[in-house]
Amino acid sequence: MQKLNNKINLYSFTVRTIGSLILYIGLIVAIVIPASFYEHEVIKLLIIIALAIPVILALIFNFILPWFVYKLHGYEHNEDYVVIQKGVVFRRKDYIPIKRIQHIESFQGPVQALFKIHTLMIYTAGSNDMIVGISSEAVEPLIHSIRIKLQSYLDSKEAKNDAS
Amino acid sequence: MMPLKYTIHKRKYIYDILTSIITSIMMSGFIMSSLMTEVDVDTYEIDDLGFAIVIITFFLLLIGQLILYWMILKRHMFSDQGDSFFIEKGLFFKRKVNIPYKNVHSVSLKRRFFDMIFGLTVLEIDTGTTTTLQSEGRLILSKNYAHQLKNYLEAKKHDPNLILPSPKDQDVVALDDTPQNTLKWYKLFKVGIFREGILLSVLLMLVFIVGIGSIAAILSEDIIFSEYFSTLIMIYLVSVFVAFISSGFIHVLIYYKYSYQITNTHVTYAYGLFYRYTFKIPIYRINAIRLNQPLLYRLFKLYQMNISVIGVGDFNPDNNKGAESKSILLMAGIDEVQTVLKALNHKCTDKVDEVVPNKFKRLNFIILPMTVLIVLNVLPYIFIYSMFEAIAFIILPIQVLLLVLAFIGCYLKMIQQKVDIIGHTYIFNKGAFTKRQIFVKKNKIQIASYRQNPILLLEDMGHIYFKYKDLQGHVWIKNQVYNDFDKIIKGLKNEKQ
Repeated sequence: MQKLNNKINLYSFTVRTIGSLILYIGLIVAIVIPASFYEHEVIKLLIIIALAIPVILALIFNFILPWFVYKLHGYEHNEDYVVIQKGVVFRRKDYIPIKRIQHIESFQGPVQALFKIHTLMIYTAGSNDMIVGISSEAVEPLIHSIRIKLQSYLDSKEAKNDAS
Repeated sequence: MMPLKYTIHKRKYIYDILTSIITSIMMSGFIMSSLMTEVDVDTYEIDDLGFAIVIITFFLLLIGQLILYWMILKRHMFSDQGDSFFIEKGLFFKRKVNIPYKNVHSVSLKRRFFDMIFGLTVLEIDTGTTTTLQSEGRLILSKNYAHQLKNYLEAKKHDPNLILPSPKDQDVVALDDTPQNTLKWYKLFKVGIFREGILLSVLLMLVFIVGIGSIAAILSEDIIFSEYFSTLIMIYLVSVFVAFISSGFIHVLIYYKYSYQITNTHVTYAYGLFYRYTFKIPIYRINAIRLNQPLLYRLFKLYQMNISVIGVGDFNPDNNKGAESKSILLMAGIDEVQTVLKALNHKCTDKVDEVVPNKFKRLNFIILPMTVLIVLNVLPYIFIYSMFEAIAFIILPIQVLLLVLAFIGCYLKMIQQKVDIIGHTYIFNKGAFTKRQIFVKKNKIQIASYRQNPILLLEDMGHIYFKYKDLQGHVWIKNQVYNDFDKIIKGLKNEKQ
């Protein structure tokens, strides 16, 4: 199994921090606002409890899980499949038959540009899957390699049989 | 040699200019409203400095957006990469789309009102993927060039020597066969009465009516229980009768004169009273066949067969509703089912292998789900029993009934889950009260996945997930060991042999 870029943990941490900020801010605001602001003082406690649960989950998601991404995530491709392994608590291993690939997209957002990583999105007729965190220098050769395998299938007799 | 790259039509910039103006007006309007001060009751004013800020903001925003949109427009390019069509776009969010010509499913041309005014056409390239509602490639082009490019994209998969033209320079099938196998109105009525989910509706009605009745009984003090609940039972029985009859009639109206015919190459079917639909589908486009046996069907050894086809409505020139029925057999016996399966090239012989749950099957299928259900049902008795003490004697039997049904459902799920590997076809057997068989040819499988949650990680097991070519077409095979997954994956590899 090929590893992702070694900055993937830091990248996951960064994007998850950005995504979780609203929850953290919400909890801080709920704590800071005086209890007298509410009609009943118990409302403040209820709001804090209601926010604390997602914040605890967000803290685990944000501060603990990202550091396992590099270890547990990966991808590989052989003659038949692109295999993508992901997930830390909920793990999955996806097998995408190369001959079912419809098109491939590479994507790089501003944060990914900062870490010099790409997302590769693989579309089949009925689904899509993505590999987040491929090094910028690795993404083009990977696309090229998958494209060659896909093209050899598309040019084959088997593809014509499948289509008819 | 580097392939020539072309940009989308510059007239698209007119839309960008309009968007920029509207956005700038909105933003500067927002700033103006925040800079206004109240000078009298309901009278607001803005001073000269504030006005200058608003004007400057407006022009800065406008100019900034116009520059950005121009840069984005200039980066929205497409080119021919030999075997594939390449689209790249985006300034900050860069996106590169690589579409092999052989995977181009459809190329559509769309013109909105303003497109017609500006002489533009939106060309959309679809690869047949059902994961996104939008097309995979979208280009705004001049009207003439869009037609040229459409022809090029459609022809290129058959003729690799074609050259991408420079911008500077529905498949309607005639319905000739008359469908033959028909269903009479009384059989359609029976379909409505036997349909999947009707018994669940009857059960939910019971829960709903008893629930509402119980709450009313708690709130009201002067109720004679025997009279009150006999009325509830009457209401329930009438509701059940109405549900059955209305379901029967609705099915007669929807599927009026339902008929189908299967030839060597096509399936044709027609139905409907108010809207008459006729579909003609090439057999090779069928992605999966679903054979269902709802509980009442099982009692009478009947079957219902649905087929899964993407874009079935495209084949009917008169159908602009987008509605479709994929039920080939609404109600049929086993002989008819086998005949149709054979006609659709799904033979049920020569079984090669099967995958069934073995490890921890009682724990995963029965004990764990039933534990959760029992805990959820018992908790109210521990914490808020006093609230419904008076009517507990009615609620308790219903809870027990539901738990017993849940137990039977879990058990049926466990014994019915099986994957048969037969030649080039997988048959996924699933379901609890409604027994389901999903026939999927191996070449229609898009993704195979092995998924583990924390409990399954502890058990060293996982769920097997298959995505096949259909809108939301997927199958879960739950609680299997990795070796089973491996066995099925090997089956996929052997497909080409």
